[in-house]
This record gives sequence, structure tokens and C-alpha cells, in this order.
Amino acid sequence: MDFELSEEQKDVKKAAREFARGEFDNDRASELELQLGFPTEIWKKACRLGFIGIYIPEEYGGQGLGFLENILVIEEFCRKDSRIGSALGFADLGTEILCAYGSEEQKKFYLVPVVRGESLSTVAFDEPETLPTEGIKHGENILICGVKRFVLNGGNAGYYLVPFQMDGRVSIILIEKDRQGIEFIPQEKMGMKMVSTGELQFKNVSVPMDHLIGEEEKDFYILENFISQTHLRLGAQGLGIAQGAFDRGLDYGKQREQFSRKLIQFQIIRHRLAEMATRIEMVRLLVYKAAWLIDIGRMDPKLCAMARASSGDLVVDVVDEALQIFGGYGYMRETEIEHFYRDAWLVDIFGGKSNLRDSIAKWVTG
Amino acid sequence: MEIYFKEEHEIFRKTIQSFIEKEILPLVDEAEEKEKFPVELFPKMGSQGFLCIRVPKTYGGRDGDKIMECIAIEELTKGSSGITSAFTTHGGLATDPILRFGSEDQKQRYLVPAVKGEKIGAFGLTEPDAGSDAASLRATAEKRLGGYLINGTKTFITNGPICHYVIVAAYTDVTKKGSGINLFIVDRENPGFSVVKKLTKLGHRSTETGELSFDDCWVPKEQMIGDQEGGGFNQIEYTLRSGRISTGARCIGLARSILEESMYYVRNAKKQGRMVGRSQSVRFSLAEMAMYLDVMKAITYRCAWLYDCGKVTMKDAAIVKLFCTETLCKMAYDGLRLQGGEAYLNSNLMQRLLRDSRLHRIPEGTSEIQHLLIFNELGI
Repeated sequence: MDFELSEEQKDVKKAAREFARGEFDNDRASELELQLGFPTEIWKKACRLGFIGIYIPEEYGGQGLGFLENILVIEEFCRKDSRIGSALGFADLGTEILCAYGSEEQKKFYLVPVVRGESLSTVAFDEPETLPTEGIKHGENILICGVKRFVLNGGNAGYYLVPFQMDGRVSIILIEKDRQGIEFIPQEKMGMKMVSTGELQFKNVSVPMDHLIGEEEKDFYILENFISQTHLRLGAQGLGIAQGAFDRGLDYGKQREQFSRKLIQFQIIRHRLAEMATRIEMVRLLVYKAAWLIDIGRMDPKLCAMARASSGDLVVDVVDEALQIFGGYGYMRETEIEHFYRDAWLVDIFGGKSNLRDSIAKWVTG
Repeated sequence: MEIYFKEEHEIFRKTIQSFIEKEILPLVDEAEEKEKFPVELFPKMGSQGFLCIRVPKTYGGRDGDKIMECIAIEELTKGSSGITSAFTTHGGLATDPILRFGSEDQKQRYLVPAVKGEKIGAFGLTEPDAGSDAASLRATAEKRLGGYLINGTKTFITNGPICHYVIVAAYTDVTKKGSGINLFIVDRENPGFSVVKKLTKLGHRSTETGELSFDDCWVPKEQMIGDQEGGGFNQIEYTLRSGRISTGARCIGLARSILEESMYYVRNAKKQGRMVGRSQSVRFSLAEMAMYLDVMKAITYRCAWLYDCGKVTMKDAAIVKLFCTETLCKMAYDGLRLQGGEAYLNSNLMQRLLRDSRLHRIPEGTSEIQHLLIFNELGI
């Protein structure tokens, strides 16, 4: 057993932390958040330094590192700023599918722009119960019809990876955003406002057959693997946001004095900080282990789901406690903890908490 | 609850419900979005006798009891917790001290127009460096020229940006920690008074909250509440005790909305072809919400009844505030988890209910302070 990050991983984590410290400006981020804007400049810089698509092989412009390195970067980014961190954490969403299952052509065409900061990517996954997305063969093309909801990066991704039904089975196809028949309807959210989110409508969108991803028999694993990796992305966000909220609560507790004592001298506050720190450490072990298993080729979907579920519980509790330490200030938008509180919730409830528990229960009970 | 409600209470509940539906609900979304309180509601509420419920008829009030006030607060909060903040502050903290401790002249000049909604009141206790530890406040009121010169900064003041007057707590004798405090009524146009800034918040966005500054703000001695220097802290405690019961009523209003939203969702939503309501965890979650709401109602109205009988203690009020605010948050969290990503969208009421619910564990004594208050009366 070896719980140590490699030297390279430590360097990645440190570099991500320094980058976030140097580049993320709270006041500008607050302005951008109000305008629902994407942190374009910071993203482009992060791309130039190799933080985005860090797991993408070098021949396609990436760093050729592991998914754990990606997790470390997301954690550090979110720790500094939950808004910018989440936006950058989703910037390369879905490229892990292309890395694993894309054709040579697809990788060249679609991975490189994401790494270079020319395009965001995404996966349009969630659909209304009654409206499954469907495809029909039409000569050399496939016509896609349907609606996808809660599409992260929906408004500014260059392309979407879209699961759909055809001939009674699920396939995945890559659709560029400028194809005819696509409409994006933005949906405003309580938090994570820098991540453009909304509904994508596909009305007879014609896509060439060579945009299909993967070989047919593998499609089930593609989706399962993607879901697991998304759990870990969110898990890392939760971990970073929790750590960031903890840092701020602790700092404030050291400064703020009431009843002639610093807040951290009150036993109740000390115990709460102790418990938060303990739980953050537990979730970190779980998230790192699940990511490490991916990198050694032994992805464990159960562990990924557990990491995400516990990270969701953690982050909601920690932002809640941290806000309480700040008291009235915590409720004010000029205090950072306010957006940490709003942003944290997406980690916990995106895709449904009950669904997540159901799938973990399935693995646990056999 | 029925044991605490008389027929007049039931009639009152229906009356205020129809007023809220007609006059308040249509304004809520815009007020929340623009973070601007619809001030025209004050005279409308006043003309119906919905402000300052407990003020006697001699001052134009309704002469209602605490139970009736809680009914009004519960129903108003059910409509909009943000908008209700303005009314609970006005009808509680900003008028209670005048009603209980004020001079006849103060009652005529402030209470009478406040009841009508012609004057909007605010209450300034909290300071940037004095929150939970209220006695450490730094504002001073120095005796000068037959009056007092007030200096200090007050923050998180509900109605601050829209008020006509504010009741402010300041030390008349800085050598007497806690007991050297007095309350003063300061008019908005009083030289030396200013609203430094309007604060933007996680929730309660339709309430206007601000930071107030008193800079060599001179007031005649008639503006002091009570006849002698000192003793203001007891007046504050008296006011807060009543306010903590009101917070219980606010939690009930929000809790009803959360349960309602959750039930609506469960009745209509399907997942993987199955009604969501068939899920056992969903059923447990709803059952818990219903249980919490019931207990919140029981302890809040019991405490309001004790208040009306003149038997309420600080411990009773603190228990109401602690239990209701903590439980309300649990309900909001469960409500969000019940609906999943859906609840995260601005188009969904749940996210506002969450943001609004989170407030109540903080003002008028945080949950931590409520623990201390309860313990203090255990007699150990």
C-alpha cells in the first residue's frame, strides 16, 4: 500500500494551486458571475499551461497524465474559487470518452481544440422521461431528434457528445454546435453560474455516420465509464469547494472575536472544525483512490459513485458550517462563502441523490 | 394547535390569506429579482390592520395577541419570506420597544404612523464587530446640549435603506458593560444619519438590508426610549424574546412551502417510468417533513400562548427559535435532494426556499446563542 502522490502529481497539485492563486480574482469573478459569463481569459491561460485535458495524450496536445492529475487540478481550482473552478473543471467534459473510444480522426479533430483553448466540449446526457433522443439512418447520415436537459457548457461548447437510441440500442454521436436544427435554451441556476447550462433541442439534425463514437458492442461501457468519471469530476469539485469553505471558515474563526475570545477558542467551533477536517480527509482518500484505480486500468464504478455521494454530503455540510461561522457576513454576497454555499449544491444533487444511492445500493447488495 | 386558536384567529387567517394572494403574491418575483422591496405594501398592510398586530386600539392598532401575530407572520412568510422580513422587523423590533417602554409622545409620533404604514421602522443593534456578543457594541450616545450625540455603525439592518426611523442601541455609559446601553429613535432626515450601503444577500432578496452610519448624529433627549440612562439591554431582551417566537412562525411558513413543493413534485414526477412517490426513501422523506412541520407548529403556538398569558421565559422562546430554524434547514436540504437537479434551477421555487431558510439560524441570536440561553435557564 502506498498513499503517497508521485513527485509529478505533487508538482501538478502545487502548480494548479499557484495558478489559481495568481489568476483567480474574486472581484472580477463576482462581476462575471452576475453577467453569467465564462472566465475566458483564465481558461485560455489554463489551457496554455496544460491544465485542461491534462489526461489527453501528448500526440493530441495534452499532457498524457492520468485522471488523478485531473482531479488534483479541479480540487485546487475549486478550492480557490468555486465558480471559476467548476467552470474550468467542466471545460473538457466528455473528452475522456473520445480519448478512450474515439477514432484517430475524431481525436485529431476534436481533442486538440479543447486542449488549445479554442473550444469547450460537453456530453448531453440527461433527457426527459417521455422524450428519448432518437436517430434514424438517412443515406450516409443519421438524423437526430430529441431533447437533452441540464446540458453543462450547453451554451458555449463547440460540440456535444449525444447518446441516442437507434435500432433498439444506445449509441453515442458527436454533434458540432453549428449544425442545422439545434437550439439551445439556457436555464438559469442558483449557483455554478459560470457554467452555461440549459436544454438542447435537436430537430432532425443531420450528422455523418463517421461521427459515431466507438464500436457498437462497447457502447454500454462508454456510458458507464463516462458516468463514473463524471462522478469523480463532481467529487473533486465537492472536495475542493469543501476545502475552500473550510479554509475560509478557519481563517475567519482565527480573526473574529466575540465575548473577548477568538471564535476558534470556543470548544463548539473547534469540534466542528475538527469534524469537518476529518470528513474532508476521508472523502479525499475515497476520491483519490477511485481516480487512481482508473489510471491503473481498474475503474471501479461503485467506488466512483461512493466518492461522489460522500463528496456531495460533505460539501453541503461543510459550506453550511462555514457559513454559520461567518454569521451574518456569511449570508452577504460580498463574502466568498455565499457563492461557495450556492455552488456546493450542484455537486450534491445533479443527476439526483436518490438515483446515486440506488446505484450504490445495487452494487453493495449484489 | 386547535387548542390555541379561537374563532377570531381562524377568521383572521382567512382574511390575511386573501389579502396576500391579491396584493403580495403578484409582486414577489419582481421584488426578488430586482432586490427591491415594494414599499407601497406598507400603507396597504396598514390600512388593513396587518402591521403591528399587538398595538392597542388607542394607537390605531388591532389589539391582537401574539397568536394572531404569529398567524399573520406564518401566512405572510408562506407568500414570501423576503417581503415578510420587512413586516416582522417593523411590527416587532422597530415598534415593540416604543409600545412597551416609549413615552406617550413617542407613541403618537412613531407608533401611530407605524401602525398605518406611513412610517417604516428599523432596528439597529448589530455592528460590524458586535454580533452574537451584542453587549460589546461600540456605538455611543454622549450627553450634549440637552440631547445625545450618537456615533457608531450598525450593519445587517433590515429596512435600513427604506426606513423613516431607526431604533438604535448605543452606550450612554461606556464604563457599564451591558447595563450602560440605551435605545434611541433616530429619524432618517436627522443630520449625521446615513445609509452607507445596501447589502446583497444569499436569500431574502426582496428585503432591503443595509449598513447605517451615525456620525455626530445629535438627537434631543425626547428620542431616548425610557426615562433614565441605562437599562436598554433589558428592553432589547424583551423585544428579542418576542421576536424569537415570531421566527418560529416564519419557519412554519417556509416549512409549509417546502412540504407543498415536495408533495407537488412527488405527485407528478416520474423516474424510469415509475412514479417518484413509489420510492420508499421519498416516502420517508415526506413523512419526516410532515412530522417536523407539526412539531414546529405545536411548540411555536404554545409559546405564543404562553406569551399571551404573560408566562413565557427566554428559554421557551429560545427553544422555539433553535428547533424551528435548525429543523427548517433540514427540511430545505431534504427538499432539494428530493427533486435533484430540477431544484437547482431558478425557475424552481425550491432554490429560493433553501436560500431563504438558511437565514434564520443567524439573526436575533444564532443557534449557538440559543443553546446558551436554554442552558442558562436549566439551573445548573
